[in-house]
Amino acid sequence: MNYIEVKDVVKDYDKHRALDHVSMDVPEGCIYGLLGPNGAGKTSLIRIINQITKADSGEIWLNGELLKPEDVRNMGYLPEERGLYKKMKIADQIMYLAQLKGMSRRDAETEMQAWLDRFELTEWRNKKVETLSKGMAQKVQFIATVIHRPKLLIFDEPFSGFDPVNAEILKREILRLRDNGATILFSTHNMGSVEEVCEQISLINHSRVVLQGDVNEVRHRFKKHIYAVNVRDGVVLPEPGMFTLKPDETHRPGDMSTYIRLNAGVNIKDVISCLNEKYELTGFHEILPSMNEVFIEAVNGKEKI
Amino acid sequence: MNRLFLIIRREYLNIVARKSFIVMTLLIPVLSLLCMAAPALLMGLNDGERKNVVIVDEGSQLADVIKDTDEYHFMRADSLANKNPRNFYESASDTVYAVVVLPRNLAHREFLSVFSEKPVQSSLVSHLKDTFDEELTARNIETLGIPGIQEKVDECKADIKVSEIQWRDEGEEESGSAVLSQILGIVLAMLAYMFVLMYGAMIMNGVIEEKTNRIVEVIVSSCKPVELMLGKIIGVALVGLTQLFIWGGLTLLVSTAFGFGGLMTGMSDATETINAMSAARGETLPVELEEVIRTIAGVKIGQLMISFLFFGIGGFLLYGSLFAAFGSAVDQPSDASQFTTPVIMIVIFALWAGMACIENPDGPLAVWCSYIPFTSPIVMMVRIPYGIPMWELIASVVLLYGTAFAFVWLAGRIYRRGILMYGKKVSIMDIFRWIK
Repeated sequence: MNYIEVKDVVKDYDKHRALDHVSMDVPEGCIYGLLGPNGAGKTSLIRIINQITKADSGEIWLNGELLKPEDVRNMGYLPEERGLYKKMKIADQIMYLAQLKGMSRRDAETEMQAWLDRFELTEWRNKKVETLSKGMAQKVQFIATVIHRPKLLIFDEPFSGFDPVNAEILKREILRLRDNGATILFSTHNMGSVEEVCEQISLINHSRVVLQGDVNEVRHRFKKHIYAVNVRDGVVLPEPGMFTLKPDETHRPGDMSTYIRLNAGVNIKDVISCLNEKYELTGFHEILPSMNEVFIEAVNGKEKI
Repeated sequence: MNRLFLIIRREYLNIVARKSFIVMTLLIPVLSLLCMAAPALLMGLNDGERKNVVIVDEGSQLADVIKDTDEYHFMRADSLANKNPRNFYESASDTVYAVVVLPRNLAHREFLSVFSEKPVQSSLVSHLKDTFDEELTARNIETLGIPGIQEKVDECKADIKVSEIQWRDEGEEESGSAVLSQILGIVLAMLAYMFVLMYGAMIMNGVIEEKTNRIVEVIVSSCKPVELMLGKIIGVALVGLTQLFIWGGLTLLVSTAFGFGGLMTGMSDATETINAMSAARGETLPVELEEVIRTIAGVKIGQLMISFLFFGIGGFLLYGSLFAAFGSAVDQPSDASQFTTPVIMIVIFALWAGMACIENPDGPLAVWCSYIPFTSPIVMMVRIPYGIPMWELIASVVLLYGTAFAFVWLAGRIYRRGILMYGKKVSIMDIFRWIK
């Protein structure tokens, strides 16, 4: 079942169309990547879903019902540009944001303490935000986003500015929240994180959806029939009529693979028998494009859904 | 819990708990007291020792009449050395503060002269004048040669008290002091002026702070932008009220503790009025306070205070929403001046108009400005003590609140666009477009 259904949403600002008939379905319990270059319209769509702004036309359905004002209580939003009140104490700040989301004082207090313990922030609870390191402030922001146990979490570039250690903690927590039943909308242009956590994506470019679907399926759709070949003792030479060597920019130190691109219509079995005859074949696997390559290609407009 | 209430509470506690708020709240009354008391204190200051004043009597026979005071010690000299006061002064080294020359015919309008190097304190001149005036008057009366004349003259001396009574519509009479009403009105107008500017800026800076540290996007994903804006305005208004109550309490406390009845009004005119009133009745200081309170009550303290609250809150909503809207449209306080300058000019004009109304509280300027919502919260405070019809008050309040709510609505439209707009220089035209 779909948790969010965006149907034909249009949003105009002054002379600029931010969203042009955008539709997408986010399945319940899924981590859904909302991808696109800067200014593509991701933030506009997020702001419509969490009701900061309204769409000019189109509909948003949430959990089978048309979006209504009370739904914000069931959403947690971590914007890309995030901030806190610098002069406020950590605990006051989290309590305030939790109560704004409709939590009772007692409930918020219990939940906050659990999260502070989890992130080892308990001794900081009565310190002002301005005394925190950036990493700690980001954890506080994360707690404020998830404390009310929302069914829908919206993260806008959640990993930006996180060091690798904290990014790993954050990733772990996001996956845990998903396992506990939350649906997660994840806006980013960091493709590495998409491959790691997202199950499905929509890629928005110039206010339109240009690519949509399951991450693996999308990567297959963009595959270039490139394979990595490993042989013992020897160098793989091109085989006219069957494959060419891929002029390789991906050569990493210690990578002994040779990359080949199959000619159109050639059968993989034939390639493998050919290689087997000539070399002692130790490895052969297909190289799917990374999401980064998919992103660049899609944004450059070579593919439409 | 209600979201608006949560926002108001955060805003309120956040400001009230600041050190700067506590310091300002305590410091402002102390500073204003000092400002009021400074002239008196400075005048009362002497350098610790009595000053020597030489009285040179050229034949008036008055030199013995003058008595030493705490400040001055008078020494008699019969004649001037070389007939020149300056030589005499210098020969007496630096122990002499001034030389007073009493001419022979002081009684016949000759000048009494005071010589010194620096200007003498006015207390010396008034002491000399009072003493000799009284003595010469007594002597003049005596020369009339009528038995018992001095007593008769004393009996004849008049010392009238002025009591001002204003007619009310109902035909009642009400006593009060015009001076006190004026002062109270001016104090309230000044307070209204100060609060609009001080707390207006506070609202604006709060909005800019939320916008630049980006918390605003998190907040408005939990509540409506207009709720956040209203919560901010109301929270800050409550801070202002708190400050007022603290000041009121402090004033009462200080007045009671030190018996400075006059400090209630803070003006020497009023002090004189009250002193004269209580002195006439032979009352002592603590009773003066009661007198002040009674007198203020005479100018309808209730009506004035309730009006102050009504107009203050209405005016605050009006100006507060403007400042909030402007704050939302800019990225830093310095960019806001293009919007705030005209508003500040209007507030200054309102104060100026209020002051001008003192002379003519029923003139066209006063009447117009007490209807125009941008000036009425200040100007009305000056006019009310002079008594204005209830319907005028109500009409003005209705106009003010109507306009204030319209501005809150307009500001809400600007605000919800402005707070999410970064890095773009916003012009007045943009703001008008956002309203549409």
